[in-house]
Amino acid sequence: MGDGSSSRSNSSNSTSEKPEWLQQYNLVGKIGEGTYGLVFLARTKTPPKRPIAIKKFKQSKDGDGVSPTAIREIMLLREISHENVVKLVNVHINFADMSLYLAFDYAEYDLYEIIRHHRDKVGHSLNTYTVKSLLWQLLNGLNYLHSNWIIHRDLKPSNILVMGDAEEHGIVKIADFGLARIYQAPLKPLSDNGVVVTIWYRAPELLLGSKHYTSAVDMWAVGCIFAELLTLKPLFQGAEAKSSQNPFQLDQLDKIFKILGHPTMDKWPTLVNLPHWQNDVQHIQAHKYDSVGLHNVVHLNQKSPAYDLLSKMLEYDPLKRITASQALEHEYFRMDPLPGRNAFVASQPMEKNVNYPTRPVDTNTDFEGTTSINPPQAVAAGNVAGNMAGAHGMGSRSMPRPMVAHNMQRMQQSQGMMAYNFPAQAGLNPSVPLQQQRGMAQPHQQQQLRRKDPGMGMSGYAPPNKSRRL
Amino acid sequence: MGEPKDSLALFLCHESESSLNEDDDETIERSDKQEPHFTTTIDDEDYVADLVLKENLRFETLPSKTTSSSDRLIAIDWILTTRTRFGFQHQTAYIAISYFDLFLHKRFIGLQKDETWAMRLLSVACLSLAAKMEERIVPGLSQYPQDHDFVFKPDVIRKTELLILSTLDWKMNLITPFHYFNYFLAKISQDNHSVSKDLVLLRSSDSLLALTKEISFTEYRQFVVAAVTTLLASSSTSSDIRLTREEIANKFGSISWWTSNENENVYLCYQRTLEIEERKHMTPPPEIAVSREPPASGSGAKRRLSFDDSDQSSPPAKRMRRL
Repeated sequence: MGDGSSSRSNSSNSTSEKPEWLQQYNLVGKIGEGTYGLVFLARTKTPPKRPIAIKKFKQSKDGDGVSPTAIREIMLLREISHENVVKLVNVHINFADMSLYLAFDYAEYDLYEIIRHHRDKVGHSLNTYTVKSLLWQLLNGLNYLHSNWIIHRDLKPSNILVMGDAEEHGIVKIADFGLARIYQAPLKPLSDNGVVVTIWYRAPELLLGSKHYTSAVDMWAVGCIFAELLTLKPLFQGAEAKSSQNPFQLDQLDKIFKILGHPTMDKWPTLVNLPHWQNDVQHIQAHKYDSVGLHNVVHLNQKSPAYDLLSKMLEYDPLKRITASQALEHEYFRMDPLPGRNAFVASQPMEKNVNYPTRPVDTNTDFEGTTSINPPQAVAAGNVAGNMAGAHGMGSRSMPRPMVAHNMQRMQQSQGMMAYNFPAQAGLNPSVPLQQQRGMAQPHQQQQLRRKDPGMGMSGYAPPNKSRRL
Repeated sequence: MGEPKDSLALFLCHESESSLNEDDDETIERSDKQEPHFTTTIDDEDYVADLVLKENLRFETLPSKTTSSSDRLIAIDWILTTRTRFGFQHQTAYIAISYFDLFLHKRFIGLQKDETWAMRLLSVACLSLAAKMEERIVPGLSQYPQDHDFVFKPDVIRKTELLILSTLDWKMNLITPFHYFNYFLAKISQDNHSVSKDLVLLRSSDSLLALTKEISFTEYRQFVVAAVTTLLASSSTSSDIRLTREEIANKFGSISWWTSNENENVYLCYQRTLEIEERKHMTPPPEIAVSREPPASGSGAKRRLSFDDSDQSSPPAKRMRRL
């Protein structure tokens, strides 16, 4: 690691102005702007120093209080623990502006960027091993969620992260639980959330207005992602209608029908019960579709196990759509190359490994609403030394240059912000790491689950275990 | 490969109390709804068994601190009244009261003179959080009704929300009796074909909310409360028969996870609920007591309190943290 990165200690004048919870981190810079607010890259100060993504929840509309999306995401992530689900490390309350910050284990990559890299730079598809490993791990995490009665509802490539650090290199993490729901929780139309959710991965029963849906909506999205990993472009790239609440999505349905053909009551008996099927019968049923055929779009042999699995994921009838646990047992995953824990590097590499670019880091952006902070140490994002360094061709990695941080001091009133007289407010310690809900509850609960789902929990991958790496 | 084997493995998402909600999409809702059935699917069995397992693992028997507190009753009345005003589901009110009880178990608020505003503020924040968890349309903080005595700015409510969230460790997804009502009703409904399912659900919801004044969220497992409430709501009102342990066991005999321990817990809760009902018939209506000004809150002088973003100086009350 000799690419000119150097330590630059310059924190003496800003340490005293940091929020208390932030002093355990070395802030690197901004890495993105999510739907709900900024995302920063930081690194823990105490060993083992590891990269952390700090996601700030900006306040919802003035006067609405804590956002339901934040509550739901934190609540769910506090309940679950799985290798293929993103890990919530800490929840911080910034009392200066009463905003919320979530600290996650940092994931260097996501499927959106990986696909884009192959499409724009590499020029050819992902190799079979990587596609299979990414898909298997995604299904493994999803099976865990569904077994715990959680439906994600917003699966898309940008929400499927892949780890870059040495210990977990190539491990898939399902992220963004702001729209997730637990079984029997009351449903809300997606448009109610005011969230821009890309429509390309939305299941047909949702597009046709169903308010009662199942975990099958996640499996449809996985099918779309699977196809996109194969073809490097979205499978059903429709334009979303946003005229009113729960509008009729004609264009998206049109894109689906052109490839899969027209749904029929023979294949989908409950089709007639869906609101938009009745209300907009003219738009759909009057239109003639000459379907291209899924096999022609994804260029798979119709008799291949890969095509069989994909077509079962993209089954119209949600009752017949394959489940995550069934998919994990599919023949596709039993053929060579067997899926592995490191989706990027097979234990017996058959093809050249692809080195993906790291995320750009903006080191010149301050936390919103907090004091200006100079990064005390300029480090490359995700640049973790380890035994995988050689495989990545470290020299080709582009390092973000340290830049002079914005030096304006914005003093925030951190005293006397508590307007209510609840006793023992000093006992409120939001920066204390949250204890994982393990121990007695989880192992016992998993043993009691009726359906035996191989690969559930921490056990890793389907047998045989030849491809497992330690 | 053939057709997916376990097509029943899909678990359904649907509104609990869907027939009780006033819904703008009533027409769409009706056309989308399956015909009501009195059987449970394989996944319903798995799901309920999971819930009961979780409850048994997490349940701690704690002595109730607030059952007879007049402040708690005032808070519950406010929550129930506001629920009706906004048209929230029964479950939303129940969850708000549960947040209230859970919070006070962790951060005890003494019955001091100036604490009534804190109880109201806590009620507002608990109902707001419950609405965010359960309702389709969530009112803004400024829309919650204000009294002459208390006016809370949205910022203050937000801070209280954050305090509740941190105190409850963000575990806001509570298991409530509403998770079980349809299941228990399906299990015992074969005895009462004449009783309308929707009517029983409505009775269960109403009596459950009334029961919150007598027992707090932490006193019983939620499936125990659900079983008792379903039993009482599904029996004929003219009947004066008390069920024995054996009769209750027969009612739930088709449930695979039902053991003598479960039956005993349900029987004890059933007995206590009947005693509560009998006590109500023999004592004056509680409305008279609640309508009076609590003497502890002052000597008749109403105090208009408006809270800005400034510290309220007040003697610190005792903190009893649950271990």
